[in-house]
Amino acid sequence: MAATTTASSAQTVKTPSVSIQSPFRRTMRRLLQHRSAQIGLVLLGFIFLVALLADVISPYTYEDQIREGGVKPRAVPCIHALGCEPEKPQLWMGLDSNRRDILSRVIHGSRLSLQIGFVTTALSLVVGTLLGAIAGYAGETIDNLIMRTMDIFQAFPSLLLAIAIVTVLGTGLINTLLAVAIVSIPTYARIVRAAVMSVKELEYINASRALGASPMRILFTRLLPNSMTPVIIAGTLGVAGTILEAAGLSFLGLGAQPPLPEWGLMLGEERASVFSAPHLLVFPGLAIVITVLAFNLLGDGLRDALDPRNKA
Amino acid sequence: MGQFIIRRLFLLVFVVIGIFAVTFALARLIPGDPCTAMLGEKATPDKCAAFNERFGLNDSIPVQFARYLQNMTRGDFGQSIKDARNVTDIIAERLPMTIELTIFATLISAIIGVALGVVSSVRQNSAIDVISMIFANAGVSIPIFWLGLMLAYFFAITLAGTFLQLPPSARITPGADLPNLLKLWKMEDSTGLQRFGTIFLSNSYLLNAMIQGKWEIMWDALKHLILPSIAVATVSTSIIARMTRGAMLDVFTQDYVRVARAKGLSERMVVLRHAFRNALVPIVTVIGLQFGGLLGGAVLTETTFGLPGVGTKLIDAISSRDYPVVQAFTVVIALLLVLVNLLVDISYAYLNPRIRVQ
Repeated sequence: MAATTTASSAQTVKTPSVSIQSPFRRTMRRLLQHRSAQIGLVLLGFIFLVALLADVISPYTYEDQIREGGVKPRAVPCIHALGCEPEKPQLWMGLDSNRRDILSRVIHGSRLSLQIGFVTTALSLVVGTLLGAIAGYAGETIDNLIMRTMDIFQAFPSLLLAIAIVTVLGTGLINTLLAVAIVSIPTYARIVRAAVMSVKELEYINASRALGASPMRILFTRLLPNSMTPVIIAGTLGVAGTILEAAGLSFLGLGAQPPLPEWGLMLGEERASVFSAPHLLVFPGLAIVITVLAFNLLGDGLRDALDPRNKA
Repeated sequence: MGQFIIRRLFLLVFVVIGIFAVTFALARLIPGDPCTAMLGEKATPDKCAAFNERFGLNDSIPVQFARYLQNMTRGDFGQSIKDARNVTDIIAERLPMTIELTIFATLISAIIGVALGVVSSVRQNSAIDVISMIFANAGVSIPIFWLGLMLAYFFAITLAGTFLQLPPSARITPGADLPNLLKLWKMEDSTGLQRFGTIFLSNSYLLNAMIQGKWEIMWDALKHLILPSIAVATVSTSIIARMTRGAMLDVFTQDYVRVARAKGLSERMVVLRHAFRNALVPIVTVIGLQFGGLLGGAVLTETTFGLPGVGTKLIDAISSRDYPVVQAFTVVIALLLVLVNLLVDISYAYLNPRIRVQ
């Protein structure tokens, strides 16, 4: 760290423009130049916009049953520009078994998925970070106690553990959020613990200690801020993972309950129609893929932009 | 090496006890009491008292836990409340399906993932590299239950009539004649490990068909496995491909690879003998780590393809509050996972001598 500081200050003399860039701006610049991050950000921007404007852009509410023009349940998509009879209502993605407009449901579903992704990740990130930081900083008995508990939780496949927790808490969207959050805690705890342990023996921590800073102060103002990089990356990728996992639980009927337009639930409700009306399943699935892909791409970009080995 | 394994086994004991404690606690925490759940309308206080007495639900929690541990060590998982059958029998029936699925998925993802990763690293930034990395990115973003449905539609409907047509559900074509070994060998009265083994073998359709020499049925069962295996394997194929590529690229920058090239070794030798061997440690680890995900994926995929495996039974048992079944299946799955992790650790030590001595 010391070496790079001197190097950059030596450079300052020749090229002052470099020194103006804060680490934040440097990272942002690198992120914006990263191909997959660009794609991820564009996709995310689009999804956020859709979620924000859901009520304005969706042709119906997610519960409306459509009967105009004699359309039947599970009607195939009908797009006027592509030669569909004008007396029938325009249906971009068709109708589901309950005569509801799939496009409107997919649009409203984006709100649910983003909420699930962010709330769940935030929850597990906060708890995981705290546990990991305490384990890493305290060491010895407390470390062992926390990490062995995490080991036991990780002995179960995450989806199965989530299923088991939902069983205890009861089905429903909120409980699914909790289950998926609990299941992801060990990942964050592990990452933060490793980061804290690698930072805690550095000189500036010793200096703080010598100045009489309390352990809490050292932990929260010195250790944690300097251990955040891997957490930010894991968190971004974690949003993708939690959206998938929650969709899986809803698919199994344990998560969001009808009539909510949750994408996984939409797939679960209509899975028997796969051979007779595949269009009921194509669009909610694609919506999940695009959303999850966007977070994954952004996470990859962040990893490359924040990776210290990349700073050359 | 022996010492290393012993130490790992010792640590394992604690994890296993922890697993028992967690599953026991989970089953106890399920809301609603099993008596009303099982007997429904007929659940009079009298009947419930008898019910609780019969299943030992009146004893204190520590007593129940001790009895639970004791029974576990004898391989006795109790009686299913719903079917009034031995849970051990149900495990023997359901487990083979899930294991078949997981093994096939592991094979697919390991072979394709490693191959893609190696080729991408050798031809870094080529069209092959870019395309396979795009696939790898998409692969981790696809919900496998959806992919399963789409594959089922594509291979059973779109490709119907062609030689690529594949069955979209069930384990074998309905009506196929594959006798139950328990009946065939007249072992209905057997008990213990023998019974477990026979039921297990009987429900491993591939092995069963092989034993009975019914090759068409084996081929049929294999065809039924293809689509679910691909669906389960997708995520791990992507992860393994990315890890392999990264590990290989890392190794390529090492001095001894440059030395090997300078010696004039063929590129083939450099890649396979020098680079790949040393990239194997992270690759084997990641393949092993995928196992848990594969098991979880198997649960979703079984539902998609209507397969009678551990996952479908677990979901069924959860909705009917069948404590013993939920408990037993969770334990079995966790133990499987622990076992695989142990194998990964051992192979890790085998591949990297430095770990052995530490």
